[in-house]
Amino acid sequence: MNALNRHRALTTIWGSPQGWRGTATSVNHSDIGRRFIVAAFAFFAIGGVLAMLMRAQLATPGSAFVGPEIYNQLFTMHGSIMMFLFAIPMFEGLALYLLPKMLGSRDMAFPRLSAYGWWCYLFGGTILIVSLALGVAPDSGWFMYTPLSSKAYTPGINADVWLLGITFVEISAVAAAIEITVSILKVRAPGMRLDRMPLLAWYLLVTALMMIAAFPPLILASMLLEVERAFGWPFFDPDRGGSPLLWQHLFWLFGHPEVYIIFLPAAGVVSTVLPVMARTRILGYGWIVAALLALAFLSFGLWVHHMFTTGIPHMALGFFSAASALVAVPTALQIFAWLGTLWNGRPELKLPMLYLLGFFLIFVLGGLTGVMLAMVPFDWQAHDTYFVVAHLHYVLIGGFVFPMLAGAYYWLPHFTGRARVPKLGEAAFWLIFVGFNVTFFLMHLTGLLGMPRRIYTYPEEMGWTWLNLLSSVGSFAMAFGFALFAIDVALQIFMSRRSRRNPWGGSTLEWAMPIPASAYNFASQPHIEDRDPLATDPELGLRLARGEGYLAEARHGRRETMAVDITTGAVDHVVVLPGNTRLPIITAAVTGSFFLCLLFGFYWLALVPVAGVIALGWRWAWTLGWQEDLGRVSIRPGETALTHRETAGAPGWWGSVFLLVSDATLLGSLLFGYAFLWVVASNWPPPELIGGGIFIGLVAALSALAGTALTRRATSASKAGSTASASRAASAAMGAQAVVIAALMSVGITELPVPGSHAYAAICWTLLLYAAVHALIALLCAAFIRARVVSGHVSGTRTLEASVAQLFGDYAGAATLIVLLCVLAPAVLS
Amino acid sequence: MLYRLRVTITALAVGGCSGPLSTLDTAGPAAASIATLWWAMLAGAAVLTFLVMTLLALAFVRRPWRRAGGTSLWIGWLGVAMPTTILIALLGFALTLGERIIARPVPGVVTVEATGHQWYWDFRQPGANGAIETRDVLHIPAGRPVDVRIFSADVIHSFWVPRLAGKMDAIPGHLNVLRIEADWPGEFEGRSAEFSGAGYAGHRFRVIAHDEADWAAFQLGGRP
Amino acid sequence: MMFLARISAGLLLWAFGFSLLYALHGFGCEGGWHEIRIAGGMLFRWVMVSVWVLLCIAGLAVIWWIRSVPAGFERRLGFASALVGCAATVVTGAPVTITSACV
Ligand code: HEM
Ligand SMILES: [Cu+2]
Repeated sequence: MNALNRHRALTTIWGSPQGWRGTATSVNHSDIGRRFIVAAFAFFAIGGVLAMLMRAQLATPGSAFVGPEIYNQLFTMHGSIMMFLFAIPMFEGLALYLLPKMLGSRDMAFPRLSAYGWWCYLFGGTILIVSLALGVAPDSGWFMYTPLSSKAYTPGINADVWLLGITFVEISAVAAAIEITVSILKVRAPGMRLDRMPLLAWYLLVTALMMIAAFPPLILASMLLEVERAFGWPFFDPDRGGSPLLWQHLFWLFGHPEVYIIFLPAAGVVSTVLPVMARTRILGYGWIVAALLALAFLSFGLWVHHMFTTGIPHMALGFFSAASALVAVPTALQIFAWLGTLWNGRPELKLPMLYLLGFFLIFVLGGLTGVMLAMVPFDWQAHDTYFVVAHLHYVLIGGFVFPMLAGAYYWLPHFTGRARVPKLGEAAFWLIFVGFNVTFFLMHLTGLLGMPRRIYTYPEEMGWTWLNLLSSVGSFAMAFGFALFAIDVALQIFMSRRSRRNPWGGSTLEWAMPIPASAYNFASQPHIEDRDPLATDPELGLRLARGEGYLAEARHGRRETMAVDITTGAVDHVVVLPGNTRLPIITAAVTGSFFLCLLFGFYWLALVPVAGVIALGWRWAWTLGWQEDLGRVSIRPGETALTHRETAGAPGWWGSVFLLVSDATLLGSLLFGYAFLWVVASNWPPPELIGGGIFIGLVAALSALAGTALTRRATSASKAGSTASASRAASAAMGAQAVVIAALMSVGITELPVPGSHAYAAICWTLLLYAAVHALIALLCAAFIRARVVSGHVSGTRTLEASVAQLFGDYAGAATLIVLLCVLAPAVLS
Repeated sequence: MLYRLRVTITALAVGGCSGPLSTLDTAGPAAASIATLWWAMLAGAAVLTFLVMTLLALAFVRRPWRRAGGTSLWIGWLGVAMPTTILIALLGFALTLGERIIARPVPGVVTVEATGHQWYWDFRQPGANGAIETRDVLHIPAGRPVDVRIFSADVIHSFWVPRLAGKMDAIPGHLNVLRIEADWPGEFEGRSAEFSGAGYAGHRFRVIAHDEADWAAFQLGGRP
Repeated sequence: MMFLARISAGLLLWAFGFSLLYALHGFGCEGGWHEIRIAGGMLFRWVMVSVWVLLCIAGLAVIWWIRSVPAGFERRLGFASALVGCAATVVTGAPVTITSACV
């Protein structure tokens, strides 16, 4: 097969149809990645317009441009849009687009999941923007502190929009995180050992793992608050045994890692672009990876630095202050690694480099003010003032937007296949850079002079007038800069001349392909021998196009890509990916209607979309797989490998593992809430509310154990090829899980007070419901396996589905036991 | 000449840093030590920024004396050892400073109660003839430590008198204590520093610090 | 999974120790341990300091243990994170010695 024919054949397999049909059905990572990026930029523009409105209002004292009702929506939506609809999706888009290309593979591990995440993001973002247009946008600040955001003080729909809309978007973030993790760990080009991965992949891996652990606390907190608002379960109400501080803990348990989740991908861009601009290799690869690991962990021990003024004793503040100071070390390490790289190389002042210089100045300042804020006494003064506004924009714009702009100019030729229009980009840079510093540098002083954040106006005599006026002027200069950037990009897309391949002389694999990239990325997948494949073999791209790599054969219309051993990068198996489908958009729409039902208070109606999601999920899993064995397939002349359904450790299995890890952090956060209230609230749980329930609890526990064991039995029977006993065991497992659900509910009904009466009852009920939902999931998994065994999809060799079902069965069992232990502990202890 | 310059700069700095809510125009021991911490950190930050920017600029000049360095110089010394040392020193300093500010039991403390409401503050303190209640104005004696016991009646607020001390939140269901002290008699601007809804911008109060005679009069119930 | 665990063992220990110290602090202040005096000091301080010291020793043990992992990238990474974890335990736990209890 010659290169052109191979191109045609692979495009038929990997491409998406033209027009709306293609838009609705494409699951290709380049398509989805591009959409994420464009949408995120659009949200950035909206958030930016809100910022301009705020700056217009604050330009003069006593201004009557907008009132507090509008202003409160402006800053809440500005913050929420920038954090949830711009920063996170922007990096997700970049990751989706770039990762497979940098890892030498053809797509992400779960293409349909990327598409689902995309639609969830789009629909959730739309809900938020529509609420803004209708004037009922959230208005309690982007961290939604209770009780201000509770029903008593925000009776309208505003807070619900935030809680439901953001949770909806969050689903997409967790989906992306799992996808990114598994893709990096498993779906790489053969030979790419972990220490041969491009640094950006390490950054994204660490970021994704952090997301898996950090988002559940927020999802949980949002659910609890929404339940409190909708049904009166008093998790955060101090009059009924709750605590407003619980919200703050859960929010910042997410919120602080969140800022590193935003920063790390951008830092990864710096580590990728900077060495190319300096015509050298990065200094201290291993050190940087170690620093990333340290950052990932430490950043989970900082959250209380957002709560230094809530009255927590000084010793505890000391722990968090120390951790916050320490986290600066791995960041400093990276700064000096980059400086050393520049010293070792011959840096050129091309446009991406210019943005990187801007990044250096701004981010270093932001980091230093961050260390200042980590010092408890200083934070007592600076907290919630404009000093913090200055700090957070120095790190977010300096640490995220500037590197992303550098990355944008660096990779745009890859997206468009074109070179940039001269000069415009430099002008935009200077406007943004100068405008930014005028706007935000002054805010440090404004804050020290006592201006609190989130006030819609201020009196003349405070002495903030000039500072604010200058900040507003600067912000408009910056806005022009961003507009110029958008124009520049548009010109490049539509008018500019074509660029040559690999215009910057980069050494990572995304440049080993013609640009703009084709749907399948690589006509054949490379074998990786070192960290800079293109530096050692500049002709690599051509050789791959000629088919001198893995999987050069386009066969059976299957989307095939290689999966490797996690550490060694040795060939593991071939992944056969699903093709274009409407399932993701339909499932996202149904998921969205669930959130809409809740938003408008149609709680019973919400059960319909729940059933819909279950049915669609079933179908989602059902449409994959084969009823016969594929056996070993050829991957390269003389080499064969199994396909993913016939091996252990397929991406789907790993994806389930990480999903459950995320799920477990959700349970962990819930248990933290339980323990927190127990310790913090006085007379908790109130002795008169504690019931018994040991006996029914034992029934639930035993049937949970039985359910787990039976699922395991079904799995092993199907692996052994005995269909009949597998399906019998699966049926029995379903029965056991049904008993678990019934027993859990009767513990609640007979032994617990109504959930609205006290936070203790509310949180115990939540725990029981958590366990019941997981028992239901395990039940469905068992039912699925039963059906698949009967239909012949699961066999002694095709074991993937059975092992996934076993994971969920095990988890449900463990979760039920833990929940029962916690719920019954007060009864046992008293 | 040098003296003139110094005087002008000081005047500028002081002028630029004054204001009714300025954290740098201090009038109490807690605020003063925090301001000292700030100026020290500012100086340190300036030095570090200068260092990084110089190294960055030098990367672009091509001179024979400029030699490339290895990981031990860039990462070991500059990236790890230097920041760790600085941070641990700073941390120790800040923690000991914090110990001096927190409301540890000391003799002679005056205790008052502050309750945040949307959008006013109620203050309550013992007087010679029963409790004295005031709204949006807090009376304290100058030169004596005062413990403010902070409550909230509705949502979260934060009690903040920047010229005297840092802030402390008023959280429903929790009691927090903040130590404040005014060095001299006078009026000090205070405000809530936690967003609390539509009336937040105007959620302000005043602290009046009395000399001994006025304080005695105040406690007798007479408004001085 | 084992790979991830090995390269982050030291940091996991830090995370555990950090949570433990914070939790003990909460329980201790709630349970009034700072009002109980034992052996010339308050019970609260004794508990916090000894747990902190034990955690630091455990951190050292992890460093020691990591040396048994086969040489290569994995060991270097594991070693670095064990060092960081131990150092972080020392630093983030240090406030137990100097700050006052439950104020
Ligand atoms: C385009 C230039 C930007 C301008 C002029 C701007 C301006 C502002 C201003 C004036 C505030 C304070 C509002 C107040 O407290 O009353 C604010 C808050 C905030 N900004 Fe920005 N901002 C910009 C970009 C960004 C970006 C890129 C991000 C994040 C990636 C961001 C994240 C936030 C957050 C999280 C808040 C806090 C919102 C809250 O208090 O609830 N901003 N911004
Ligand atoms: Cu933080």
